[in-house]
Amino acid sequence: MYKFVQVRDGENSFHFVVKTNLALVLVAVGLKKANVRVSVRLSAPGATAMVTGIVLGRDDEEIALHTTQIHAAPDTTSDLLVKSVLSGHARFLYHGEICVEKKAQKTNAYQRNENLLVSEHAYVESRPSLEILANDVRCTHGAATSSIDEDELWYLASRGISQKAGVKIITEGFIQRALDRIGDNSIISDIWQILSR
Amino acid sequence: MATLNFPYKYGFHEKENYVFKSKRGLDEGVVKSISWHKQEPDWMLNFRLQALGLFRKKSLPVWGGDLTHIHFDDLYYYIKPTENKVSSWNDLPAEIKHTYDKIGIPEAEKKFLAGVSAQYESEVVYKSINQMLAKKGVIFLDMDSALRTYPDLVKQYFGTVVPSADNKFAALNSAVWSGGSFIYVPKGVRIELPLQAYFRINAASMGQFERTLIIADEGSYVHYVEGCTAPIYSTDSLHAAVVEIVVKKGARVRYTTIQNWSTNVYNLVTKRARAEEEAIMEWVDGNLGSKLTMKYPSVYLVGRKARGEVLSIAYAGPGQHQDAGGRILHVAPETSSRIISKSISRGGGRTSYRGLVQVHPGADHVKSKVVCDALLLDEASRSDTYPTMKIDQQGARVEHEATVSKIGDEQLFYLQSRGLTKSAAESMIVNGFIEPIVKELPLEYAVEMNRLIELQLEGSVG
Repeated sequence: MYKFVQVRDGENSFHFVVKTNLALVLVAVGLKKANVRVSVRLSAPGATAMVTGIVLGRDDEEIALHTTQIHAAPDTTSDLLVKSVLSGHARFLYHGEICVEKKAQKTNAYQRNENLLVSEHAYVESRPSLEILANDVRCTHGAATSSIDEDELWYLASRGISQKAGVKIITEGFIQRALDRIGDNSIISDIWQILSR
Repeated sequence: MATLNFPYKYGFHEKENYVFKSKRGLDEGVVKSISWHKQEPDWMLNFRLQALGLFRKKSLPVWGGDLTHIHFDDLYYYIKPTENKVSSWNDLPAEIKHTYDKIGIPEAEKKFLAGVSAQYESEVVYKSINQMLAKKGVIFLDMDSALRTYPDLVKQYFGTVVPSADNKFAALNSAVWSGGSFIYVPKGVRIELPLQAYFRINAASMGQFERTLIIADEGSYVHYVEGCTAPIYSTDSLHAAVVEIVVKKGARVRYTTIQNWSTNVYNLVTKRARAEEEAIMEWVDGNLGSKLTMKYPSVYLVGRKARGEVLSIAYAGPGQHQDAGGRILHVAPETSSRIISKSISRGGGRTSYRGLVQVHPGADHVKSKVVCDALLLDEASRSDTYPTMKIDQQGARVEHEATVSKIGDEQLFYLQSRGLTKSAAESMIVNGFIEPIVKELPLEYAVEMNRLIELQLEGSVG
């Protein structure tokens, strides 16, 4: 079952203690200034958590997102993906923590943050961090920030697609890749409705 | 894993032999006497005194390692070992030669390498400048001599890359610095052989505060290598060096360090380079020893198309904390950078990667990639990764990836099925893990690095 969370302006705090499975989708769109804290604590052996976050920032919007993946039991798995698209003067501050406690052997923890800057003045700050106190683990994190590739736009233009439409196609594709892993089509179409408002 | 514990091989201690030793602790009198002993110009004395004021004002960093056990008042800040510098190897005092023989500077290296500048206590006592270097107009001196011989050149660049106010330890170094290297490479001159300096701490409770300044003029190339092994002391030692590098248009500088201080040394070093248009700056940094290392070699990319690289290896054994990484600031457009960090924690050791990649407004078409890999060899050890990326410009491509894992059971099983012992297999896997960085080292250092890793991991490998 999916847990769906839409971020509101101001302070947002979500804490999950996971003993079996959690699939969380978090959407932050149309906000002026929001501060979001999400923590997922895997507290029983074999627990898994999949977290997918979509952040759209426009104009002067400012979004700070802090995620924490705590592995407190052995054989646990967490997989987090946060994607943002930033235009105008939008600012996005991401801080993602993975903490693997000493007793949490045989842990798999993944964290990935991808940001797409589509305007001159958008700003992104990405601070992933890993604190690993167990040794029999596999933990990775990755972060990538880029802009729309001029070659891709040129290719679309050569197929008769305007620059504006091209940016839209590429941006939607960027988000779609995050939604793909959710797999549940009704939730995906719900999210698209929220995003396109 | 019990077989992996080996005594510190370089833990010998020579009898101290010096002509002047400052009193314990730090005050204006100590700073003035250092400056007086070195017969420095007034501007340097003022620079030192100003830095002392900044040192007192600044607080210790609250992040990173545990610095609460440094007692600044118990340290000696300046020791002058022998009265005069000697110009040939044979004129060195027997005791100092004996020390170097124990570290093992090979005979061939002494003869063939472009310049050997060895540091004993706080002052460079042995130095040989190859005729070829002098002919090309290259200046390679210890910092004190450079200040006497080329005061204008030193004054022009000293403290411009790392200002005294940068951090507490940069301020401390600026107040009490002694020794270190000064290199000036004229326009278009390429030095194909690496320039080397051997460092040595030999007095208990003695801080070392080298100050190194390298200026690579337009289109030049130089590779500077520093390596060190240090004896074990009963009290903690502090090493707070400052390294400043100016890489001018189209020039390239590579700076290689192998740090193997004994495990009671605090190694708190500020290293920074400024790279101008189309310049390339490369830091190759190996941290094996010390109790705590906090070192983040930085490159400020201020000219168009400049490139910065940091290659870092850290090894933390029992009681050690290696807090290392790299910082790259993209100030100009079309600049690129790469940070590759490999760390190994064993026996309760802790390694941390701490880094920053920042893209300033106006710096478009920036490319940066950071890769951090960490190996945890047992349950007691710890590994942290703290990268930060700040991107304030469209068109930047900034990537970061990190992994933390242990040695795979399948890998060990495979090697053991081929007849290797477990520890030999572990050593082979660890050496393979760091190989991408080791292969960037000059041959003799690569050999030494592999030897040190093997020593740490299992003693000897057949």
